[in-house]
Amino acid sequence: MLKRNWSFVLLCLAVIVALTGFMYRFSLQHVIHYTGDTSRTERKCLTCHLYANGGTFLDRILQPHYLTPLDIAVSQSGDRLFVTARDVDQLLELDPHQRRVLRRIPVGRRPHSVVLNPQGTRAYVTNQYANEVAVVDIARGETVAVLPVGMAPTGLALDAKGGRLVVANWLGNDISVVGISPSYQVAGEFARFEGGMNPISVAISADGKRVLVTNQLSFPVSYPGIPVSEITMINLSTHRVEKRFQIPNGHMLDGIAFTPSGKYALAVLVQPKNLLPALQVERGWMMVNAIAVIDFEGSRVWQFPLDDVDRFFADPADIVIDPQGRYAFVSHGGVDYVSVVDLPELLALVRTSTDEELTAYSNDLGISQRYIRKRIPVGSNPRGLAISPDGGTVYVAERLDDRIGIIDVDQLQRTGEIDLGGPQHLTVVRKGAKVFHSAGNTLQGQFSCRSCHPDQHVDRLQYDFEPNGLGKNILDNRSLRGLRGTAPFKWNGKNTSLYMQCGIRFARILTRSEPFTPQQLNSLVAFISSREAFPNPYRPGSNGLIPSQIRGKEIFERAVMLDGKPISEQNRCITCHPPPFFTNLMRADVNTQFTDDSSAVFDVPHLNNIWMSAPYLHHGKAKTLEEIWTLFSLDDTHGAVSDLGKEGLNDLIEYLKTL
Amino acid sequence: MTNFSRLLWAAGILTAVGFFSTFLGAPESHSGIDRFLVTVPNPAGLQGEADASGSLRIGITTAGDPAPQILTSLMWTASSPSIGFDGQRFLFSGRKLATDKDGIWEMEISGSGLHLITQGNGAPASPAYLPNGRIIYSDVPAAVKDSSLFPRAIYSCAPDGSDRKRLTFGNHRDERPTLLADGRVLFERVFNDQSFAYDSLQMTIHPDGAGFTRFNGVAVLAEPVSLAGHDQSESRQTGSALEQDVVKVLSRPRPPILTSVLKASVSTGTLLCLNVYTSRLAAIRDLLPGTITAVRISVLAPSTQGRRVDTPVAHGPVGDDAIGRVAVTHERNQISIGTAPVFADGSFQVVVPADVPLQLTLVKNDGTVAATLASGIWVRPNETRGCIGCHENPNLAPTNRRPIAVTQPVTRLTWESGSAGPVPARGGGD
Repeated sequence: MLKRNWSFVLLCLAVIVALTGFMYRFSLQHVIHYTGDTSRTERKCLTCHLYANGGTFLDRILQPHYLTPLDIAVSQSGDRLFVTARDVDQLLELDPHQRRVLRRIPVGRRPHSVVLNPQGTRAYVTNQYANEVAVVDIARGETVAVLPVGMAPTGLALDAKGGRLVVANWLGNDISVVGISPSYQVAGEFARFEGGMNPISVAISADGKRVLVTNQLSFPVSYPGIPVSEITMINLSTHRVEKRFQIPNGHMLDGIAFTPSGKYALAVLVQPKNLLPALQVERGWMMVNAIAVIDFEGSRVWQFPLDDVDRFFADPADIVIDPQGRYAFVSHGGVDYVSVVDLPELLALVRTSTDEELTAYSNDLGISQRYIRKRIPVGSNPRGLAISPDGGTVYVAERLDDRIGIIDVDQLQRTGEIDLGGPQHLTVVRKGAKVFHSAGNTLQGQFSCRSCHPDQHVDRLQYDFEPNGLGKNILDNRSLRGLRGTAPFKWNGKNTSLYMQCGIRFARILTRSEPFTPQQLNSLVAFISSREAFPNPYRPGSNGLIPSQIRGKEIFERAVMLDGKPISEQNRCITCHPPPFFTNLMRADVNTQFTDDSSAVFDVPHLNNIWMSAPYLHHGKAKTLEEIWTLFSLDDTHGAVSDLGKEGLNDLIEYLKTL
Repeated sequence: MTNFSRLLWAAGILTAVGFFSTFLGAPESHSGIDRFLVTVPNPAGLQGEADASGSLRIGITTAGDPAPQILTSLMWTASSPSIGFDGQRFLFSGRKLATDKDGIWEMEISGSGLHLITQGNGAPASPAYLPNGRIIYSDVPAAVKDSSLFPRAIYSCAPDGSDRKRLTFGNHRDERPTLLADGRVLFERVFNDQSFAYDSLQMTIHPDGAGFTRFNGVAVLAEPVSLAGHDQSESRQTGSALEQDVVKVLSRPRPPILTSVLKASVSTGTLLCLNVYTSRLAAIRDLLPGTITAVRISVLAPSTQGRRVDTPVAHGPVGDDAIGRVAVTHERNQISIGTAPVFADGSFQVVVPADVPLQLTLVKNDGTVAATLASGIWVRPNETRGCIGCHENPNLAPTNRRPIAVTQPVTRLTWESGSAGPVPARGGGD
């Protein structure tokens, strides 16, 4: 009997050992199969099976809801703050003296920016995912109206009398002017101006006549064209675009502010170096973070670095100027600092320098010592700034800490904070958000993942990565939205997972510093994988596809040409771009190889939200969807379209925009 | 007393001992008093003991304490202490006996664990920890017999002294390496000839020797330093950044380990210059674009004599800002290995032999020399080195413009040590 029991125990042990070994091998192979990473670094099951699957049922139950403050407005009295809490669709009302949250007011989907009317009775909030401005009655603490505006509104400003609201429509590439009636029920948009690419921030001069709008990205330019963005100036008296300031080699523009005199305005931007082979980082070889000074008298714009020679201040986001005109404060989302610019010193440089000197300053990293008074460390990923009416306090939206930092202007240091009450626990995805937005893993803090992927999307630029050979294989940037399930990655399709894409090669090719730790990489992959596509305004509603989209869908799925001639299977759109992600996850040669390309075979990209990811093709030379076929695939090798004609091609494109 | 009571008493005593040793007997840094490693003259030497004359010792002290506790009493001389990232151990250079060779040593802050790491090529000095665990120091090149003269170079080795690698190249005196907070290495290059306006410059490299460039920023050192009792742990101006004789004892964040793109199997690297006309040298800056049509690459043969190379050189015109002189004749020990075209935008790209000091001569369209750039640079195996200009303003960021050179075939120049001129390209340079 005893012998039998021992045999049973030994058998059980053998089974357990065998199972353990089998499970270990299985899990190892499983991870290698799905991540392509053979380094055997630590991988947690939950990273892929829970955190990286944002929006799932489990995710909704288990993931805490962070507030993610983005923008701040201060009341005229200085005793109230209003903060957009982007991830919970709320406007928070704060008491800055007691340092606490008073109320949480629901607004709309993904609130971006907020302004207050002069009386302090209403707040206007752009709801970026709802294409509207929410009108909040502050006394009642609720949204009392919504004002439809353009696509994906972001920044906004109200004139001094509170009668006109100017809204930057980020995806609409236009600028709305909305009349605000006393009863606000009859208010509405009465003018819309064409902007540059992705209008993002708005400032109105003290006299209410001038409006400046920064446009985040460059106009489409064919490589090796120099990126050019725009600051749009609108005259509110004449309701005309008064001037379009071209910002050569200006990119990622964001916050903008007038000086107290109104003679100048300052905007933050990044100077990309995408036309250079990405072979090093030092001395601003990849990008320089800068400030633009708009001189209205000379009608010129000058650029000044915010960086030091060997220390960079990535991702300048917002700017405020104190009412006395002593300082400009700039938040740097990538390095968790606020830079203090000595405004008189900077403007003196503008006034006393020759044009030749001012042109040279834009690349002179040593010149910042002349006007940078101090660097103030703040919380994680600082974005929106606001200054109290008396100029004594600057408030900083510490976005990924769910806090408002408080800077004492006389002391020029952070003296306190307001905890907004977000979850204290950092999930893997939230940690990944911090990694994504931090330049801490880049040599000298020069750039973060966000620097090229604003909102995890694209900067519309093309890059020359050195390991491909200098001047070879110029590659268009690709969106990080909606990537889940679309591996492999990289234009040549050689990276089978985001672990490989963002792993050590990323440090060797781009950041030139220490690679992400396994924990950082885990969380970064989880964060990127959890990013969903932007809401698609072209996607059909309850009524289904409109006729042109239906015709386009038939073309997309067709097997014969209009004359009845069969289309070979490999040359049908649907073959390489099948739903749900509209990629067959393979590589293909569709005759798009360019002279500088070393290979003709490229990853078949997914088509989700393709409407907003221009330019197209691996080299980014197709500025529009139409150009894919009218300029770069004339021989029916990238889908059979030669029989379609203009109308047919339009139908196909209308359908593609719904994906 | 029962056994149980004895047990309780014993436990109580042990707890009390643990408490006092933890909270009362802790190192001074725990009680908020800063400690420093200082290099001081050997008292024996001061008292006239012949064989101790000029020798140094390393002691540990608090601010204002005139009598440091000597840690290296077993050493004949010891200097240049450098604290580990954990604040528990330190490196220094020294000799155990007066007749020994110099060596790099390591010991605990407590004074125990003294051991030799390497004697290098005979004169290692100024050691420092690298973030990847290796140790960096300066030494004479292997072939140099007299260590008191030129040249010196920067080396690194494994923690046990093995796997020594040379990181800087040239006939200059490269010394006093120290780690910057961004992970690069700052060192001083003392020039050994008259062809340059400076006696010395501060330069930086990556810990693998790549990215050699002039340092012109504000040194944020990885290792806290205190001079004259003042804590100057960061943002020290360049002039005194390399002083290391007083270091603060504390643990600190490890700087990043910079990734390396070097490949030992490759014998070449690539130089890409964006625009030769971007220069502070008037002889270059004032030329019309298109005037310079070629760059001649010369290797500077290693000096094995351990002496100053006082080759006479003539000096070209100096710009108003006089930031450098232009040598217009060749040094005696340079060997031209070929030329590469300079394009209309001033750019050039050339594959060159790795790990040898290079001299670049800009040649005008009439065949005359515009300038010879005498500072001596190198590329490491498989490194692609980008230059913004030729002796340009060191604060300058590059202009965002695609250089013509990257659109044209690359010139490949190779050279083997001992040969007098160019040899056929062996390939594998990229």
